[in-house]
Amino acid sequence: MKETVTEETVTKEKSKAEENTQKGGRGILIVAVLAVVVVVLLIILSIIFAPKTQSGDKSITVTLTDNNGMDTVYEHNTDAEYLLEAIREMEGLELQGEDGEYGFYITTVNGITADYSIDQSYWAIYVNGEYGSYGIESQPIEDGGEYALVYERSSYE
Amino acid sequence: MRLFMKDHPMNKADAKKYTTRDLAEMGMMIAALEAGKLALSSLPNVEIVTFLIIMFSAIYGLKSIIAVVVFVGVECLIWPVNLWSIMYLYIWPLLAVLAYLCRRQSSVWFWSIFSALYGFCFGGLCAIVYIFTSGIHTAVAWWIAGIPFDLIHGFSNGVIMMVLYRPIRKVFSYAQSHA
Repeated sequence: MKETVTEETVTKEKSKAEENTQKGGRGILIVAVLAVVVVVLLIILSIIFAPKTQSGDKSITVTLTDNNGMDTVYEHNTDAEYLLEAIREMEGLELQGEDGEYGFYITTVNGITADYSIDQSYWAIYVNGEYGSYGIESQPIEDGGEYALVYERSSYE
Repeated sequence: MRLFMKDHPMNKADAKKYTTRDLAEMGMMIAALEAGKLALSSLPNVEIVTFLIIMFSAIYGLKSIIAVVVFVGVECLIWPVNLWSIMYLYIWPLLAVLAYLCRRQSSVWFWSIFSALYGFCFGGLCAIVYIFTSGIHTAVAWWIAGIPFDLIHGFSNGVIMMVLYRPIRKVFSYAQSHA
Protein backbone atom coordinates (compact mmCIF):
# COMPACT_ATOMS: atom_id res chain seq x y z
CA MET A 1 0.00 0.00 0.00
CA LYS A 2 2.83 2.29 0.96
CA GLU A 3 4.58 1.63 -2.41
CA THR A 4 1.35 2.51 -4.30
CA VAL A 5 1.08 5.83 -2.45
CA THR A 6 4.70 6.63 -3.35
CA GLU A 7 4.11 5.77 -7.03
CA GLU A 8 0.97 7.93 -7.05
CA THR A 9 2.90 10.81 -5.52
CA VAL A 10 5.66 10.46 -8.10
CA THR A 11 3.12 10.37 -10.94
CA LYS A 12 1.35 13.45 -9.56
CA GLU A 13 4.62 15.32 -9.26
CA LYS A 14 5.60 14.33 -12.81
CA SER A 15 2.29 15.53 -14.26
CA LYS A 16 2.59 18.79 -12.28
CA ALA A 17 6.09 19.31 -13.68
CA GLU A 18 4.80 18.63 -17.19
CA GLU A 19 1.95 21.09 -16.62
CA ASN A 20 4.42 23.75 -15.47
CA THR A 21 6.61 23.10 -18.52
CA GLN A 22 3.57 23.44 -20.78
CA LYS A 23 2.54 26.69 -19.05
CA GLY A 24 6.11 27.98 -19.37
CA GLY A 25 6.17 27.06 -23.04
CA ARG A 26 2.81 28.78 -23.58
CA GLY A 27 4.13 31.91 -21.87
CA ILE A 28 7.18 31.99 -24.12
CA LEU A 29 4.97 31.54 -27.18
CA ILE A 30 2.66 34.38 -26.13
CA VAL A 31 5.43 36.93 -25.51
CA ALA A 32 7.27 35.81 -28.67
CA VAL A 33 4.18 36.34 -30.82
CA LEU A 34 3.53 39.73 -29.16
CA ALA A 35 7.14 40.78 -29.73
CA VAL A 36 7.04 39.81 -33.41
CA VAL A 37 3.75 41.67 -33.94
CA VAL A 38 5.07 44.80 -32.21
CA VAL A 39 8.38 44.78 -34.13
CA VAL A 40 6.64 44.32 -37.49
CA LEU A 41 4.19 47.11 -36.64
CA LEU A 42 7.00 49.48 -35.59
CA ILE A 43 8.99 48.78 -38.76
CA ILE A 44 5.95 49.33 -41.00
CA LEU A 45 5.05 52.58 -39.23
CA SER A 46 8.60 53.94 -39.39
CA ILE A 47 8.77 53.16 -43.13
CA ILE A 48 5.36 54.64 -43.95
CA PHE A 49 5.81 57.76 -41.84
CA ALA A 50 9.54 58.28 -42.40
CA PRO A 51 10.27 61.93 -43.14
CA LYS A 52 10.13 62.45 -46.90
CA THR A 53 12.75 64.65 -48.46
CA GLN A 54 12.06 67.01 -51.34
CA SER A 55 14.61 67.42 -54.09
CA GLY A 56 15.05 70.52 -56.21
CA ASP A 57 15.12 74.21 -55.38
CA LYS A 58 13.18 75.24 -52.30
CA SER A 59 12.45 78.57 -50.68
CA ILE A 60 12.45 78.47 -46.87
CA THR A 61 12.29 80.85 -43.93
CA VAL A 62 14.31 80.40 -40.76
CA THR A 63 13.47 82.52 -37.72
CA LEU A 64 16.01 82.84 -34.96
CA THR A 65 14.64 83.69 -31.51
CA ASP A 66 17.48 84.53 -29.17
CA ASN A 67 17.79 84.45 -25.38
CA ASN A 68 16.18 87.91 -25.13
CA GLY A 69 13.18 86.89 -27.19
CA MET A 70 14.33 88.93 -30.22
CA ASP A 71 13.37 87.48 -33.61
CA THR A 72 15.53 87.61 -36.71
CA VAL A 73 14.11 86.22 -39.94
CA TYR A 74 16.27 84.69 -42.66
CA GLU A 75 15.04 83.75 -46.09
CA HIS A 76 16.93 81.32 -48.22
CA ASN A 77 16.74 79.35 -51.45
CA THR A 78 18.35 75.94 -51.34
CA ASP A 79 18.32 72.49 -52.88
CA ALA A 80 19.48 70.91 -49.65
CA GLU A 81 17.24 68.16 -48.30
CA TYR A 82 17.71 68.64 -44.56
CA LEU A 83 17.55 71.72 -42.33
CA LEU A 84 21.15 71.54 -41.07
CA GLU A 85 22.54 71.54 -44.62
CA ALA A 86 20.32 74.48 -45.56
CA ILE A 87 21.28 76.55 -42.49
CA ARG A 88 24.98 75.95 -43.11
CA GLU A 89 24.57 77.58 -46.53
CA MET A 90 22.92 80.66 -45.06
CA GLU A 91 24.81 83.87 -44.39
CA GLY A 92 24.28 85.54 -41.06
CA LEU A 93 23.32 82.33 -39.30
CA GLU A 94 26.14 80.39 -37.67
CA LEU A 95 25.61 77.09 -35.91
CA GLN A 96 27.88 75.21 -33.59
CA GLY A 97 27.23 71.95 -31.90
CA GLU A 98 28.34 68.41 -31.33
CA ASP A 99 27.49 64.98 -32.62
CA GLY A 100 25.30 63.32 -30.03
CA GLU A 101 23.45 60.05 -29.65
CA TYR A 102 20.53 61.45 -31.68
CA GLY A 103 22.56 63.28 -34.34
CA PHE A 104 23.85 66.84 -34.42
CA TYR A 105 23.03 68.72 -31.20
CA ILE A 106 22.98 72.52 -31.44
CA THR A 107 24.88 74.27 -28.67
CA THR A 108 25.51 77.74 -30.08
CA VAL A 109 23.69 79.90 -32.63
CA ASN A 110 25.26 83.24 -33.64
CA GLY A 111 27.42 83.15 -30.53
CA ILE A 112 24.54 82.47 -28.11
CA THR A 113 25.18 79.24 -26.22
CA ALA A 114 22.49 77.16 -24.57
CA ASP A 115 23.87 74.77 -21.96
CA TYR A 116 21.28 72.44 -20.46
CA SER A 117 23.59 71.34 -17.65
CA ILE A 118 23.91 74.93 -16.37
CA ASP A 119 20.46 76.48 -16.70
CA GLN A 120 18.32 73.87 -18.53
CA SER A 121 18.51 75.95 -21.72
CA TYR A 122 18.54 74.47 -25.20
CA TRP A 123 17.89 75.36 -28.83
CA ALA A 124 14.45 74.14 -29.84
CA ILE A 125 13.45 73.50 -33.44
CA TYR A 126 10.00 74.47 -34.70
CA VAL A 127 8.56 73.39 -38.04
CA ASN A 128 5.66 75.44 -39.42
CA GLY A 129 4.82 76.65 -35.93
CA GLU A 130 4.89 73.22 -34.27
CA TYR A 131 7.57 71.72 -32.10
CA GLY A 132 9.80 69.58 -34.32
CA SER A 133 10.00 65.83 -33.92
CA TYR A 134 13.42 65.42 -35.51
CA GLY A 135 16.89 66.70 -34.90
CA ILE A 136 18.22 69.42 -37.15
CA GLU A 137 20.30 66.90 -39.09
CA SER A 138 17.31 64.67 -39.93
CA GLN A 139 14.60 67.35 -40.32
CA PRO A 140 13.62 67.41 -44.01
CA ILE A 141 12.77 70.76 -45.56
CA GLU A 142 10.05 71.57 -48.05
CA ASP A 143 9.36 74.45 -50.36
CA GLY A 144 7.66 77.26 -48.44
CA GLY A 145 8.52 75.73 -45.09
CA GLU A 146 8.88 77.93 -42.02
CA TYR A 147 11.48 76.83 -39.52
CA ALA A 148 12.55 78.37 -36.26
CA LEU A 149 15.45 78.02 -33.88
CA VAL A 150 14.24 79.17 -30.49
CA TYR A 151 16.29 79.61 -27.34
CA GLU A 152 14.26 77.93 -24.59
CA ARG A 153 14.66 76.98 -20.98
CA SER A 154 13.07 73.90 -19.53
CA SER A 155 10.78 74.65 -16.60
CA TYR A 156 10.62 72.17 -13.76
CA GLU A 157 7.69 73.32 -11.73
CA MET B 1 9.63 55.91 23.74
CA ARG B 2 7.31 53.40 22.14
CA LEU B 3 9.93 52.71 19.46
CA PHE B 4 12.04 50.92 22.09
CA MET B 5 9.20 48.89 23.55
CA LYS B 6 9.29 45.68 21.59
CA ASP B 7 5.95 44.49 22.95
CA HIS B 8 4.18 47.65 21.85
CA PRO B 9 1.49 46.73 19.29
CA MET B 10 2.93 49.11 16.73
CA ASN B 11 6.32 47.40 16.89
CA LYS B 12 5.16 43.84 16.42
CA ALA B 13 5.97 42.47 12.98
CA ASP B 14 3.05 40.77 11.33
CA ALA B 15 2.17 39.63 7.84
CA LYS B 16 0.69 43.02 6.90
CA LYS B 17 3.65 45.20 7.94
CA TYR B 18 7.11 45.31 6.48
CA THR B 19 9.98 44.14 8.63
CA THR B 20 13.38 45.74 8.98
CA ARG B 21 14.68 43.20 6.51
CA ASP B 22 12.05 44.25 3.97
CA LEU B 23 13.04 47.89 4.39
CA ALA B 24 16.71 47.00 3.93
CA GLU B 25 15.89 45.04 0.78
CA MET B 26 13.87 47.95 -0.60
CA GLY B 27 16.79 50.28 0.11
CA MET B 28 19.13 47.90 -1.67
CA MET B 29 16.80 47.77 -4.69
CA ILE B 30 16.53 51.57 -4.92
CA ALA B 31 20.33 51.97 -4.65
CA ALA B 32 20.94 49.29 -7.29
CA LEU B 33 18.44 50.90 -9.68
CA GLU B 34 19.97 54.33 -9.25
CA ALA B 35 23.57 53.12 -9.56
CA GLY B 36 22.76 50.91 -12.53
CA LYS B 37 21.00 53.75 -14.35
CA LEU B 38 23.89 56.17 -13.78
CA ALA B 39 26.52 53.59 -14.73
CA LEU B 40 25.08 53.08 -18.22
CA SER B 41 23.81 56.63 -18.77
CA SER B 42 26.50 57.36 -21.35
CA LEU B 43 25.34 54.50 -23.62
CA PRO B 44 22.40 55.62 -25.78
CA ASN B 45 19.32 53.36 -25.58
CA VAL B 46 21.08 50.84 -23.34
CA GLU B 47 19.90 50.57 -19.75
CA ILE B 48 19.87 48.05 -16.96
CA VAL B 49 16.85 49.42 -15.09
CA THR B 50 14.45 47.15 -16.99
CA PHE B 51 16.51 44.09 -16.11
CA LEU B 52 16.76 45.02 -12.43
CA ILE B 53 13.06 45.84 -12.03
CA ILE B 54 12.09 42.52 -13.61
CA MET B 55 14.48 40.57 -11.36
CA PHE B 56 13.37 42.40 -8.22
CA SER B 57 9.67 41.94 -9.00
CA ALA B 58 10.07 38.26 -9.78
CA ILE B 59 12.11 37.59 -6.65
CA TYR B 60 10.98 40.10 -4.02
CA GLY B 61 7.37 40.48 -5.08
CA LEU B 62 5.13 43.39 -4.12
CA LYS B 63 7.71 45.33 -2.10
CA SER B 64 9.69 45.81 -5.32
CA ILE B 65 6.84 47.97 -6.63
CA ILE B 66 7.25 50.28 -3.62
CA ALA B 67 11.00 50.39 -4.27
CA VAL B 68 10.39 51.30 -7.92
CA VAL B 69 8.09 54.20 -6.98
CA VAL B 70 10.69 55.50 -4.52
CA PHE B 71 13.34 55.12 -7.25
CA VAL B 72 11.28 57.49 -9.43
CA GLY B 73 11.14 59.90 -6.47
CA VAL B 74 14.92 59.78 -6.12
CA GLU B 75 15.28 60.50 -9.83
CA CYS B 76 13.09 63.57 -9.39
CA LEU B 77 15.43 64.77 -6.66
CA ILE B 78 18.49 64.38 -8.86
CA TRP B 79 17.20 65.66 -12.20
CA PRO B 80 14.95 68.67 -12.90
CA VAL B 81 11.33 67.58 -12.87
CA ASN B 82 9.72 67.67 -16.28
CA LEU B 83 7.44 65.58 -18.49
CA TRP B 84 9.80 62.64 -18.08
CA SER B 85 8.86 62.52 -14.38
CA ILE B 86 5.23 61.81 -15.26
CA MET B 87 6.33 59.16 -17.76
CA TYR B 88 8.51 57.46 -15.16
CA LEU B 89 5.65 57.46 -12.64
CA TYR B 90 3.66 54.97 -14.71
CA ILE B 91 6.23 53.24 -16.96
CA TRP B 92 8.48 51.72 -14.31
CA PRO B 93 5.75 50.69 -11.83
CA LEU B 94 3.81 49.16 -14.75
CA LEU B 95 6.85 47.05 -15.62
CA ALA B 96 7.15 45.96 -11.98
CA VAL B 97 3.47 44.95 -11.88
CA LEU B 98 3.67 43.02 -15.17
CA ALA B 99 6.83 41.23 -14.04
CA TYR B 100 5.19 40.41 -10.72
CA LEU B 101 2.20 38.88 -12.53
CA CYS B 102 4.58 36.68 -14.54
CA ARG B 103 6.78 35.82 -11.56
CA ARG B 104 6.18 32.08 -11.91
CA GLN B 105 8.06 32.08 -15.21
CA SER B 106 11.64 30.90 -14.84
CA SER B 107 12.72 30.62 -18.46
CA VAL B 108 15.53 32.88 -19.65
CA TRP B 109 13.83 32.93 -23.06
CA PHE B 110 10.57 34.21 -21.60
CA TRP B 111 12.23 37.01 -19.66
CA SER B 112 14.53 37.99 -22.55
CA ILE B 113 11.61 38.35 -24.94
CA PHE B 114 9.51 40.05 -22.23
CA SER B 115 12.18 42.68 -21.53
CA ALA B 116 12.81 43.19 -25.25
CA LEU B 117 9.07 43.68 -25.80
CA TYR B 118 8.92 46.30 -23.07
CA GLY B 119 11.82 48.14 -24.70
CA PHE B 120 10.01 48.10 -28.07
CA CYS B 121 6.92 49.59 -26.39
CA PHE B 122 8.85 52.16 -24.33
CA GLY B 123 8.49 55.05 -26.76
CA GLY B 124 4.80 54.41 -27.25
CA LEU B 125 4.26 54.39 -23.49
CA CYS B 126 6.18 57.66 -23.13
CA ALA B 127 4.15 59.27 -25.93
CA ILE B 128 0.94 58.93 -23.88
CA VAL B 129 1.87 62.05 -21.90
CA TYR B 130 2.16 64.09 -25.10
CA ILE B 131 -1.47 63.31 -25.95
CA PHE B 132 -2.49 65.45 -22.98
CA THR B 133 0.15 68.15 -23.30
CA SER B 134 0.43 68.62 -27.07
CA GLY B 135 -2.37 66.65 -28.71
CA ILE B 136 -2.57 63.28 -30.42
CA HIS B 137 -0.82 64.36 -33.64
CA THR B 138 2.28 65.56 -31.80
CA ALA B 139 2.26 62.44 -29.62
CA VAL B 140 2.12 60.12 -32.64
CA ALA B 141 4.77 62.13 -34.56
CA TRP B 142 7.06 62.07 -31.54
CA TRP B 143 6.57 58.33 -31.09
CA ILE B 144 7.20 57.48 -34.75
CA ALA B 145 10.33 59.66 -34.86
CA GLY B 146 11.73 57.60 -31.98
CA ILE B 147 10.92 54.11 -33.35
CA PRO B 148 14.52 53.33 -34.45
CA PHE B 149 15.68 54.07 -30.91
CA ASP B 150 12.92 51.90 -29.43
CA LEU B 151 14.08 48.98 -31.58
CA ILE B 152 17.64 49.40 -30.30
CA HIS B 153 16.35 49.74 -26.75
CA GLY B 154 14.32 46.53 -26.99
CA PHE B 155 17.14 44.59 -28.55
CA SER B 156 19.63 45.70 -25.88
CA ASN B 157 17.12 44.80 -23.13
CA GLY B 158 16.83 41.29 -24.56
CA VAL B 159 20.59 40.81 -24.79
CA ILE B 160 21.17 42.05 -21.23
CA MET B 161 18.52 39.70 -19.87
CA MET B 162 19.85 36.76 -21.89
CA VAL B 163 23.34 37.26 -20.46
CA LEU B 164 22.56 38.18 -16.86
CA TYR B 165 19.36 36.30 -15.96
CA ARG B 166 20.81 32.94 -14.94
CA PRO B 167 23.81 34.15 -12.90
CA ILE B 168 21.86 36.89 -11.12
CA ARG B 169 18.94 34.56 -10.39
CA LYS B 170 21.38 32.09 -8.84
CA VAL B 171 22.88 34.83 -6.67
CA PHE B 172 19.47 35.94 -5.43
CA SER B 173 18.39 32.36 -4.72
CA TYR B 174 21.59 31.76 -2.76
CA ALA B 175 21.10 34.99 -0.80
CA GLN B 176 17.53 34.13 0.08
CA SER B 177 18.30 30.56 1.08
CA HIS B 178 21.14 31.71 3.34
CA ALA B 179 19.28 34.65 4.90
